Amino acid sequence: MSPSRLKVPKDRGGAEAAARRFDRLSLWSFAFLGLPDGGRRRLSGDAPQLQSLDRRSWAHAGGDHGRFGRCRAVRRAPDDAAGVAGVIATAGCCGMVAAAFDHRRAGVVAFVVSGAVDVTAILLWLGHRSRFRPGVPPPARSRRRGTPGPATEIEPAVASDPTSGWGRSRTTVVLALGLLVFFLFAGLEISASQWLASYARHRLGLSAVGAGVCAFGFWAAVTAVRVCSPRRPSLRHPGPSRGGGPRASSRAPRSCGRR
Amino acid sequence: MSPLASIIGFLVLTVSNAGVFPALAAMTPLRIGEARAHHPIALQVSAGMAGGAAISALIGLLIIHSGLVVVGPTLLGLGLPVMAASATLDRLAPVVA
Repeated sequence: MSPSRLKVPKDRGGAEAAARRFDRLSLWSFAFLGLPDGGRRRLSGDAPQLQSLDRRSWAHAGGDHGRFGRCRAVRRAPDDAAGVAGVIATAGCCGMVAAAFDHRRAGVVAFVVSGAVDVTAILLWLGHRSRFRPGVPPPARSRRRGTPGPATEIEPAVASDPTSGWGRSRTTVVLALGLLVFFLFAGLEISASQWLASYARHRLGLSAVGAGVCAFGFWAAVTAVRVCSPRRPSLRHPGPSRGGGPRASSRAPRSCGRR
Repeated sequence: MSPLASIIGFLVLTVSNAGVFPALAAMTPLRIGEARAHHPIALQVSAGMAGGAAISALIGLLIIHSGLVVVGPTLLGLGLPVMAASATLDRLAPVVA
């Protein structure tokens, strides 16, 4: 999700400019939201018993809800969930590092900075909303940069409806299972991250610095993997999968994004 | 178990899990269609955050009663139903590539 991918030629009119602005604002919002997240993660490490109640407040869950809802809305990169998660994780790591330097002052500066970036994000979104009124039809989703030519290569899979022919009960079960998978998996991942510091400190006998390094390593590894994850559209590539030309080979997945 | 082995285990857990969450979110449109995927994805992420809160707190309660030794077995015990639910989901709503 390099910034170059967000560049739009100037001659495409106001709709493209609005869409570009929306993309930028969305990405920076992910960074804004991830930065204090990392700071809170680091600062609450001293009181792990309070961590889940503190970090996972309903307000914070609402922020997560919004940020991934917006992830789907990043117009020019609609499939880069891994990239967006990487942006959040990178910002979170930066927040952790910043909070580590603020340890002696009990995180006052970190929380002030956290509040400042949150307020900045709110103001930017309000400004965007006042400038581009809701109700105006959003610009049509354009293709990614570097994929010139007719938009027929990945569009058919998008247009199809995999749920056609499903009964109501099957749809309900699929949605419920999806929620269950997310509930359990995120619970596993977040629990591992949250209790890692306590486990390293009190079970493995590491020093406070060692436990902090472990916690940082956890999120640094998450960040590295998510940033390096491939793009999803290769999943929907209907062309030849083996030796199908330069476009097929250049967009082949490297590791994940397929199961 | 030596501390180094535990740390390596956590690292392996991290690296192997890191891509799963965004991949699950990215595959939802392939399961249920692009047009109707927006709200389910938001709900899924909300469910994930609720799971993070609830399961972390539950593990905390277990730790109070039994100590930090329960962390590993609990995480392993969580992985099994995730695998089962994911396999069932794949069968009911296969990814349309």
